[in-house]
Amino acid sequence: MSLMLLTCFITQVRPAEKGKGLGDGHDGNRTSISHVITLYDEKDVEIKPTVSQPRPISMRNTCGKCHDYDAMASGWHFHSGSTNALSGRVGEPWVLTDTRIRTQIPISNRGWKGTYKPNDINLSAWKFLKQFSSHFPGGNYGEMEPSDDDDSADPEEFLRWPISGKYEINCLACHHADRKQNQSDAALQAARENYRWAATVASGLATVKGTASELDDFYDPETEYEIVTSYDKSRFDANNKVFLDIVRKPPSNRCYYCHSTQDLQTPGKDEWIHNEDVHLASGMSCADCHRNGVDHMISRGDIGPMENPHDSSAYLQAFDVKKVASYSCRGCHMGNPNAVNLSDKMGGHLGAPIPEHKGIPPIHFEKLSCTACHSGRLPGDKTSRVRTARIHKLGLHGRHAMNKQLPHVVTPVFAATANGKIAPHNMIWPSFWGLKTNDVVKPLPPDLVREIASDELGVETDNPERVNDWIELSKEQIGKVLKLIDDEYKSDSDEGEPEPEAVYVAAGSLFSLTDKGVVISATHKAAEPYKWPIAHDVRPASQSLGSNGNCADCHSQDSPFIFGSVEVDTPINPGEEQTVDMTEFGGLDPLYYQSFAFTFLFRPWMKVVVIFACVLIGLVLLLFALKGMDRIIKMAGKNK
Amino acid sequence: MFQAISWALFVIIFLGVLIHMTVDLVGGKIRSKKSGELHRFWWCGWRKGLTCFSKFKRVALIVAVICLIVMFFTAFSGRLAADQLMTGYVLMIHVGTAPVFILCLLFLIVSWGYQCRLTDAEWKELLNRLKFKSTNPKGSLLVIKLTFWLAMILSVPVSMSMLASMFTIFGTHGQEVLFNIHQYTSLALVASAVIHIYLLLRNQYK
Repeated sequence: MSLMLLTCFITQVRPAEKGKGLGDGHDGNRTSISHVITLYDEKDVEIKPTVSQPRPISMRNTCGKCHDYDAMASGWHFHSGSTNALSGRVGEPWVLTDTRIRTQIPISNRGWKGTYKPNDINLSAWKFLKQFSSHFPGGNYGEMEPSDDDDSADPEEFLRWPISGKYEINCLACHHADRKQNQSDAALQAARENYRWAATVASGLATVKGTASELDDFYDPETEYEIVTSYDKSRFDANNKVFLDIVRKPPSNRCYYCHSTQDLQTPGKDEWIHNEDVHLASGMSCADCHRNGVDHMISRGDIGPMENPHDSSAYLQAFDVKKVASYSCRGCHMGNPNAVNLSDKMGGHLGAPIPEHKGIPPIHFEKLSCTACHSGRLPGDKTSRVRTARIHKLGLHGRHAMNKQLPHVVTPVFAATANGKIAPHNMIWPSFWGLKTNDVVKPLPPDLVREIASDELGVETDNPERVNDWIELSKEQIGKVLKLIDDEYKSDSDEGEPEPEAVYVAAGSLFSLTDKGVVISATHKAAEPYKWPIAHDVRPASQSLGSNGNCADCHSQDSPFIFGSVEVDTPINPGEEQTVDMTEFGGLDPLYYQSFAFTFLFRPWMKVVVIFACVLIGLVLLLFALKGMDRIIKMAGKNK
Repeated sequence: MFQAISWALFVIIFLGVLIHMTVDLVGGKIRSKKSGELHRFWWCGWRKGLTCFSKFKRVALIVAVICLIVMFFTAFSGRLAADQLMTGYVLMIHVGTAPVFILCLLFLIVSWGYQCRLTDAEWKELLNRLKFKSTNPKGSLLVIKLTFWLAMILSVPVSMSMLASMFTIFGTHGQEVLFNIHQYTSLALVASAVIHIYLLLRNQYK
């Protein structure tokens, strides 16, 4: 009996599976777990609001008590700064913008074609945070404090990291369902370099006074208290525990902070006419499709039952392909034939309707992604623009609110994806000063360009005139700045090494100087626009391209889907309308598609001709069939 | 699957025609008409003394055969060689030729249908063949007529299957079924047309 009790006891109290946190996994009870928990600071000391100078919450120490923090840190949101960041399908990059020097550089450490790694432009983890921490989930670069033996690190950064602290993974940014959770506050703290405090303030548990960026390099956070954390004592119970409304499945409202897109066709006062994604409108949430386990490898919807959008084997290995494919468009709506369980094979998750696609030849599903017809805004003659939360820093409220217009993100661009299917994309045109060595172009850090060409680019000019949001850049200015960059770098290059050539990338062209100092432009892969496929907002079926068998949505001679114009965004003559044909991005032959569209003019006639002919042939056949029948009946009748 | 079936059928037809020709030649069953009796366009069904309408019928046949050849090559070349479906300009040519073909077939069935009725002797021959009884096929046009009717019958599902797919009636599964109907009936149509034309030419040459 005692042995049985002991066995039961061991079974009950043992932690979750080896390598997992106590709170990870699921015991089968659907009730959400009430998180009345003790908070811990970065020294792993219990937080008591009544003590003097309490420290901010450490997510690593608080959440990490029950959850495997390091397993989470390997997730999609938190690993991009690692050396071997997963690549996978291209996505929205960070964009380093400096309008004064007419620069917008797509940044990603994932090696996506067309992006530059932070290292390429001397963007250390510290500088990365300064640029992009307004919409940052924590972890990753936020915890990449240089080690003491890191000779390459900026000495100033050694001093600033301890003052600001690490920006740990902010679990509450996603999992805190409390409406008090305010990521705009986190962004404000990040702007002040108060990284250590960002999560605490955003949660609404405390207020913070003080600004790390204003503190002296030699400020000692252990002994000085210029940054004061004041907890809301009413939130703590008698045991100094706090109730946090933690949910396993993040509400969409939490995702929106970093993943919102503003349609600039319906901005400001017309925002109310804009419809949201049909899935969300029907009551679903982002996490219904974008699911994940403890590893936080959130499914992106890009791994389909029938095909994968890229050949990154490491990326595919990071996911359980048979499972995540069931939550792609096709997996949900049409089933995943490769799935393990029967319900996944059948599809229809959460009541997803199985589309009939009446009148649409199956070849379309081989050439087009689901999103081509169903997602993004309906294409017009010319692409429109959107702003995204991360690129344009949307969602910052109060004094630190921004109204960034650049870079102009143009959409929808119907371009071929890595698997050859055409899908709608958002797109930006990179624009930067750089150096070309052995035909490889690398951008110059914007700080350096500001130093080298401050006067030529009017960096210090107050309220410069803007055309189409750009400060106009003339070819003469380009020539002067290229000359300055050449002077700076050609003199520095070692003997025997190829001399770097100063270049400027904009409008899809690479500008450089001839030996005589004349500015010339040429095409170059570094100047190609950066585009990433989009899947949202999904429109209802009735607003999809080709709905109700309307082939002319795409197969007409002026169809925006094929023959639309894509805006070229550039500081060079920004007032002039510059466009590129949509067919260039889809790899489509415009002549063929014009001819094909032309045939659709005759399609109704063809239908009439074929129906007419078939009916008459049928009647003649019927006539002779009846005659044959007559003969058979007669023959049968003769045989008495 | 369709590729394999197509290959198999075309090889069988080709070998069948070859063997049939060889047997004819070895057995001396084919004797060319005397020089001068054959019109130089005999292989188009032409002969001397044709009426205007007869000429028109033959022109329709020639156009139909040309259309069939064009559609055969556009549809089957990629499929037989690499199991590839038609796309691009090839598809446009195929679809553009189809209405001309079906109109020619309409004209042919109206103008030749009466001639292609089975005579009493042919009915008997047909019944005997169905009963596996020996027949005396000398001078019989039964197979020519049967392949004519078979081609005409098949032309209806061939055309209607693709036409139906252009309306918002059938979903993805229905479209796939229609496509399968189209390709298999087309295969049968081509096979019957090849046999019909071979026998027609053979009959014309004798």
